[in-house]
Amino acid sequence: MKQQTHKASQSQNSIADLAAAPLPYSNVEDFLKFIERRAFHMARINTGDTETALDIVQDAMYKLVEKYSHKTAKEWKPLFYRILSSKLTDYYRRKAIRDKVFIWSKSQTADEDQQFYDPAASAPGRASETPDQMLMRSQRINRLNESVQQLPNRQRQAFMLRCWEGLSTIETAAAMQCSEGSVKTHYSRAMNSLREMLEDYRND
Amino acid sequence: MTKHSKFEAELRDDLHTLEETTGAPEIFRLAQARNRALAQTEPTSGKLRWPVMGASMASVLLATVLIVQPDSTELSSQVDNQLGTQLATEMIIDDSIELYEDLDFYYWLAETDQNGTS
Repeated sequence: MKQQTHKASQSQNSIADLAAAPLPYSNVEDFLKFIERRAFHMARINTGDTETALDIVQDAMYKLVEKYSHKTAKEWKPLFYRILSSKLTDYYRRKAIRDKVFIWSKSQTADEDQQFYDPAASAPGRASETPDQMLMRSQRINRLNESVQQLPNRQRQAFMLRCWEGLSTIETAAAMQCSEGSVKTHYSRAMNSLREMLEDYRND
Repeated sequence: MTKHSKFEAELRDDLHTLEETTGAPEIFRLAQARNRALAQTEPTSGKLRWPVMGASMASVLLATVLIVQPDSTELSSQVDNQLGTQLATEMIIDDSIELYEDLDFYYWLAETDQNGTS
């Protein structure tokens, strides 16, 4: 337990020391433009609701600008994802309490939103793809969306930050406020689960 | 490329496609959220600060004067209250006098009974 705490604090201290390639943004506004769509989809997959996802992303933006805009550009991304993870954790806790109290209305609106939300419905596809390829990609994305939503919360977060955002283990640990070992465990389990769920949709 | 890393790359590719195909309404809402978040850091104009503060203080002073200064209707209501209190006091005093007079009677009655029974 002490080792995990020590490792987590080391992760926090190393945010500013991360070796970085040239960043595609130099000010907070450009950073938010760079990250907002991905953050929205992450929140959307986590919550299953578009409006909730938009609210969470807006709150995270507010917090970053208010508290951390004075930090260096290298630190914005891990800080933003830490804020986003905290907001999502708060959402899970509120939802758990709400579901216990209002058990008869559990996740009805979220389920309806999931039924009608097709993440690839508006996809114009890529210029190089044939219509069949576009259809297959659309189906694959839908299946991926559903599979990621089925993961436990921590595995889902670790997967999104490591695989989607490309954060290192150290950066992910800082964002999730856990140890690097926990990140590796969560990520490994997430990948194994996704492989099992998606093997019919992959051209392995 | 290992099988694991190939699978990761495929997933990442699909997730990036998901990102690129964000709907126009969501893009608009995200831009709104971004602008609101950035707006909270805009500094207030220093040129307008002192006139605004001065106007605010003047408004507060004026409101204080209006509230504290009694007007004619308030004066008349105060007089009415005083009269009412005076009348009530007089009534209580009159009642007290009658009560004291009655008490003398009841004392006399009590003594008479005692002498009669003793």
